[in-house]
Amino acid sequence: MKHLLAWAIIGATMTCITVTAQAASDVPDFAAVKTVCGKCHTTAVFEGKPRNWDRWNDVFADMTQRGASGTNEDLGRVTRYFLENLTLVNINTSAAEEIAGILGVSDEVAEAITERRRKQPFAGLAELRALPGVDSAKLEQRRSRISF
Amino acid sequence: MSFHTPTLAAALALTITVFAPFTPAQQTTKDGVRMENAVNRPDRPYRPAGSSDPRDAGPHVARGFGKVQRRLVYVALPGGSAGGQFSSEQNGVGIVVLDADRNFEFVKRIPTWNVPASMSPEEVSGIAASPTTNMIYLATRGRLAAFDLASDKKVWEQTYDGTCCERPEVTPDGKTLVVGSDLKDFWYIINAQDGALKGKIQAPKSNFAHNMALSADGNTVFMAPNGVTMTVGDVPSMKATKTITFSDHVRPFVINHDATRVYANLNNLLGFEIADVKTGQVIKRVEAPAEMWKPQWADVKQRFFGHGCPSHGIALTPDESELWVVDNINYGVLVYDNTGEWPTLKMTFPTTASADWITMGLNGQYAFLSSADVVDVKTKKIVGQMKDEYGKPMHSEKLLEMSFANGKLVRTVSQFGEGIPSAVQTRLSARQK
Ligand code: HEC
Repeated sequence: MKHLLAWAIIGATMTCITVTAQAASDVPDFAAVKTVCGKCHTTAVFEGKPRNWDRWNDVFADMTQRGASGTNEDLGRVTRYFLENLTLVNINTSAAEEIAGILGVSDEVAEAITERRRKQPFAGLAELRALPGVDSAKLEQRRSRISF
Repeated sequence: MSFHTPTLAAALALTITVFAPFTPAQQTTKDGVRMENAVNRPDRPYRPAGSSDPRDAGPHVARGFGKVQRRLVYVALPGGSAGGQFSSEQNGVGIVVLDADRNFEFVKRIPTWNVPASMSPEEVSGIAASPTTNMIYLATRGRLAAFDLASDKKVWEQTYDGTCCERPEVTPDGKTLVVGSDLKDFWYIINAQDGALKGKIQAPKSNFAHNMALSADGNTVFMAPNGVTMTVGDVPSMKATKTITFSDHVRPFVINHDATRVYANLNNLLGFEIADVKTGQVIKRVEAPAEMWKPQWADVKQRFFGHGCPSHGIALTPDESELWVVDNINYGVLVYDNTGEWPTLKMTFPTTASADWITMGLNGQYAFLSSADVVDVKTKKIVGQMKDEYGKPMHSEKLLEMSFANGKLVRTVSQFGEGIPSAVQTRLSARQK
């Protein structure tokens, strides 16, 4: 029983470490994008060309049909890469999933944002910056893809 | 976003099992199986309930991955007659939908207009669709209408000033339709969402609006009359910017992926002329071998199905490696290799009827001809026939192949066989490897 507990703890700790490492850098996510999306064409067909999340999902579905595939781990990284780097998000209308992605916040914070906007729509970046859990450096870096 | 790994899940499950005696007996898995029953043991084997949704398996995965797909062909009727070989009314009115993944089987007929039996239905003059609006647009000589692809219901219909409409194309952002007037000297700019008129591009040198092409970025429109001079226009400013004059009437034509070249069928030519868009000049005339057509065409007593010209139908494969040209003298298709400096004829194949239009399908896999033939682009073999619910071949020149995920259009093609930037890029990057 001690054995199992130890494994559980090691497992959990390792997961935490990986999660932090991923969050610190986009590099592993981009490597996954190259693996999944760079097989047939270069990533230049989409890099630097943001779209809204619905349109990206159309592209993912289209590419899946053409033969794009990957491990769940890689597809998860591709998802995160596109949400964080290539998606146009409207803070007052987009889904929590997209808000979590672009702001780099937890699902809970994103839910709190959608809860808050129901009562009163956000007027601008300043109001977002004031929220707990929002990283203003990320916000600054991604502001061109954020609208209200 | 939370990331679970199978190791962690297993570890947690084990931990919980281990602690089971100390925790309330109601502990269950997410799907309600009691924990003590959710352990794989030799005497009681257990596998967690499967799910086809990759999102349940761990990391947050975008819904676009792993969706159920349908690949369909939407054929607008009446939309052609194989150049007069058949009646264009033989397939009735509506949009017939075929399943590209099931040998082009009939799926359904979407009603478009209720035409009294005593009247001839108007011909569909053009077709376009947009994943952004999830609508398909039909132009007829008389009206322009949009149908919602989720419900197959008409969303709007317009007649404008009574001179609507020729071929439409929709910008990639799904905001704007560019549509020819019915044989007049202007093109309409229309809000693709509700059909409201935004303005017109006047093209006085190109009276008799007919064929058109829209650049891949949606900014440049090529407006051709049934006449010698084509007008190039800027969509955002709704202004004509230049003209290109060919040696005879321009018939169907296509543009390449970056809208730098025009390949045009002309009257009195089995072949095409190539124009350079920057200079506005014709830079090459490519004729099929003389013996294939010149004596026959010079003999004015000979009759050919088609649209009164030796070639009515031209298309680039999406990656621009080939240029396909209809042969209305010998009833077939000429395939040109387009990877060198100029296109060179590499092979020909016969069609089952007069083919007066070529639409390239998704991914450059199939070509759809108005002879009702579906051709495998790689092998040039006829692999299917487009037929209505009564088994009659459909000779429509107005059709689109479309790909759907959960009832939502994700990708379609243009009625015009234009080069597609990503497909060209894919071909060129494969060559470098
Ligand atoms: C199996 C090969 C393959 C893989 C893997 C693939 N693609 Fe593509 N993709 C293509 C082809 C082929 C085209 C060109 C299609 C065309 O335009 O006819 C294309 C075109 C595109 C385009 C331009 C068309 C558009 O909709 O704007 C984008 C963007 C794109 N791919 C994104 C992706 C992304 C993102 C991934 C990874 C999730 C991916 N591709 C993976 C084959 C692939």
